[in-house]
Amino acid sequence: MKIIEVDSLTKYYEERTMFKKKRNRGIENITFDVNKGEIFGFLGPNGAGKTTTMRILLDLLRPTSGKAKIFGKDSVEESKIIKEQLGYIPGDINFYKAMTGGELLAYYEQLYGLPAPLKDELVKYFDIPLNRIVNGYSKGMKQKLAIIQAFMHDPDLVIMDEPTTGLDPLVQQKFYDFLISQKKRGKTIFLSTHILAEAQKVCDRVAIIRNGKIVAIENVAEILARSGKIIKVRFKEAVTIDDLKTNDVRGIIEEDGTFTIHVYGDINSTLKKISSHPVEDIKIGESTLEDIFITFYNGERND
Amino acid sequence: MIEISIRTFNERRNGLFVFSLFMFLFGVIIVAMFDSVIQSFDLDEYLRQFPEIFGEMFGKSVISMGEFGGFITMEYFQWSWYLIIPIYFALYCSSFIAGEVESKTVDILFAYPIKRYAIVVGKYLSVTASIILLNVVALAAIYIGIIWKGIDYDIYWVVCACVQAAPFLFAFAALFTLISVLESESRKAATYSMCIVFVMFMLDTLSALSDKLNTLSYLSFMKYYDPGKILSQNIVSWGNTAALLVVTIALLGLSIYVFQKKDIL
Repeated sequence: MKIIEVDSLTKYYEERTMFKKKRNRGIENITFDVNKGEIFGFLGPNGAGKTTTMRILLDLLRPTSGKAKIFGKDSVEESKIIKEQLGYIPGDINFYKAMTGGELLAYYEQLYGLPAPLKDELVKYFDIPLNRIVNGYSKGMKQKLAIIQAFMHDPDLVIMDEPTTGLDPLVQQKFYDFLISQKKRGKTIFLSTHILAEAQKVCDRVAIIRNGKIVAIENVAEILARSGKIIKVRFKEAVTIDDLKTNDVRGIIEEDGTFTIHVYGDINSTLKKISSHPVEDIKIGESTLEDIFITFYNGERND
Repeated sequence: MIEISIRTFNERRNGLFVFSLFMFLFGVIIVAMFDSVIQSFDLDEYLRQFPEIFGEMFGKSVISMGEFGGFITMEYFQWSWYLIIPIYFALYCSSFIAGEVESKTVDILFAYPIKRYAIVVGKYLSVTASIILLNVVALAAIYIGIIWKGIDYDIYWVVCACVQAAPFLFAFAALFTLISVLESESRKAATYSMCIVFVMFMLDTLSALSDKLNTLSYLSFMKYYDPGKILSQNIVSWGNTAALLVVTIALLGLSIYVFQKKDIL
């Protein structure tokens, strides 16, 4: 069952000055689906169009063309009904500064129109001081409060724009565990991130967006399974990228004398090439999503 | 929707109480001054020393400043209801939408099952309590002053002046809400709103100078609320009140229409 269906979504921002009108690219022709019970990652560098897509889904922005459906309902026309089963964590979190955390959550409960069944449990899990004025919260505490407000109504879908910004590694891990527990309960998560390790930890599928266009949609487990090995090697003498290329090499990046070679298929031919030069240090490991992303997409510059 | 109104009101509550206290004390002091001022000198004679136009500009519809109704019109209602309170509401309303967009608090608001129009209407309705409170405070100040100083004046006319002030202030609040929807920076929205109050005030006060200005003055909300006519001439007309209500509904409708189309960046 499809929870989000995005079809040829395009958004141009109009910039009007007194004398001229300019159109800036937001996103162009974006198409993807998110299935029920899936954690779907939206990967891409800053300015790629991740936030624009999410803001259209939330009806904060109106698309220039194309359609988006959530729970089979139009994201513009039926926005109110959609939001009865939706949670959202914006990328830039801001609360009413003079209210306490407790007052804010109570306010959001009133806006929702029903008591939040998971509120107490989440406040305990993420451990935030509800009686303090939000203005005195650290960035991490505000982030945790945003997570609580998004999940406390037990929505079927949560959209999150870079949700772990400002969280320390321990809380990040706690958050990932929480996301996986939500997925097990059949909840759908759509999150944007530029942290590939995060996507690898929690996402089932990822869409990679660059310059407003989707360049790939991949199943994380599948892409990792067929992604082969990563060899990091330093040589005692000067070696060029061309010296290391074989038919099994997918991409090579050289940085400060260290070559990162992404190999799929048989590793032996590449090892043979490497051993023809005096090696100073070598590490062989499984590819991470980050390696794949860098060698597949950024690595194109070296080809 | 009502939750939005209550939260918006609560955010401005302390400022409103301080402002109401100021308006109360100002009202009591003006009423208390009445006896001593009219005994000290002839206010009407004093006004006659100025060009005739001056009286029309600053005390339209006032028959005599020497009687209580004319006095409080010129000293209290004219300044407070035509300038001070509209400027207070310009500051109050300018951040309704612009402030939420600017501070990005609107992002989380959009995660909840609320229609766009409900945000505008909820924000707008938060002025209701403030308008009621300010008018009740003014009424109380004048009533206490009258009793304290033993002034012979029928409080009914002050009640009418305050009741008719409500649609006048609601119209201003609707105009400022529209500006807050159009402009995404609350400081700019406040500046534009205050400028409009001043322009409307000038249009109304200068309308006696020429026919052209008189025609233009119909654009001013002050044209449709005349406390002098009620307090000094004891005439209550509801036609202008109806006109203000129509303008209020139109402005609020326009605010909703613009917000429906707006991209929240």
